[in-house]
Amino acid sequence: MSPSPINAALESDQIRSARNGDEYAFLALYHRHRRAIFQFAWRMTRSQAAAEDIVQECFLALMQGAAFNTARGELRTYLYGIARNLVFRRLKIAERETEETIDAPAAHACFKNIDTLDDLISAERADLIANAVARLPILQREAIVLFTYEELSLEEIARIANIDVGAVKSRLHRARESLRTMLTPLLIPESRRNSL
Amino acid sequence: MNKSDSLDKLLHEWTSPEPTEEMDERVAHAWRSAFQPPRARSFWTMRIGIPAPALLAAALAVFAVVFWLRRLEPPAAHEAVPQTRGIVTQLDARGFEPLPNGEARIISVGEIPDEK
Repeated sequence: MSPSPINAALESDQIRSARNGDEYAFLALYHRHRRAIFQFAWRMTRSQAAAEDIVQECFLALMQGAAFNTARGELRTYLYGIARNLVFRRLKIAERETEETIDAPAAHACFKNIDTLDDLISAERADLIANAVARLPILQREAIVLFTYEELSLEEIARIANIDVGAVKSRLHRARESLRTMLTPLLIPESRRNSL
Repeated sequence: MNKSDSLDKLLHEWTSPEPTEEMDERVAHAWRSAFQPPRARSFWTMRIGIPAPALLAAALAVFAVVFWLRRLEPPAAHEAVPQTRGIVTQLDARGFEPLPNGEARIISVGEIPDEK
């Protein structure tokens, strides 16, 4: 996706104003991008607290850094790049400390009100999918989250991960094959499952 | 990449939570702490940009007002008499006695009788 010149110019102005203390400019930028960055961080870390920290650090880094260049792409892509580095740093620290990064209720955080059997089954399925994605190697996980959930193009993912499009395709292919294997029981249609 | 196959539909069953208001407040607070100095500090470091012609016009206006006010001031009622030796004129006419021949006489300061 090529950067829209109007948005790029507007966002550059807003970054400049926000750096000079304009709160409205900062909030406009923040509310435009916070959801995407939060959801990316949450899917990568599976921790609400970690995702919130990453969003905060990401926007402060944008305000403090001078490296954003509209010629190189959209602000959204740039923010994903910052968030990616923060996520990787956290995951490495978590690995070193052999600490569980997953919040206990985070796997089915969206199913706070489980009333019926259907809700319970949905929560269970979501949990299985979340676990399968979490078991992917980190670079494959990143590719699948950005492509499937954040709906970025291959070119955008390549820019964020600083690799070529071919490498993105390869990571995605391997991630999807692994997921297909791990999630086979959920992929079998119900009619076939009953007949087994 | 096929985004509409069965795997893709299945993956979308895993939804993520929405960002919370607490996070929004926290981020806004962190931004204010980093990029908006406290009001007391900002007063002492405040800068005002004034165009040079406006500043010149304001300075001329202040000068004109001061000059006009000085011209309106009434002259002093009594100028202090310089305390130097020389000819004085006694304005107080108490005890005035005309000389018999009507002639004026010049006296020095030391010849003035002390009234006390």
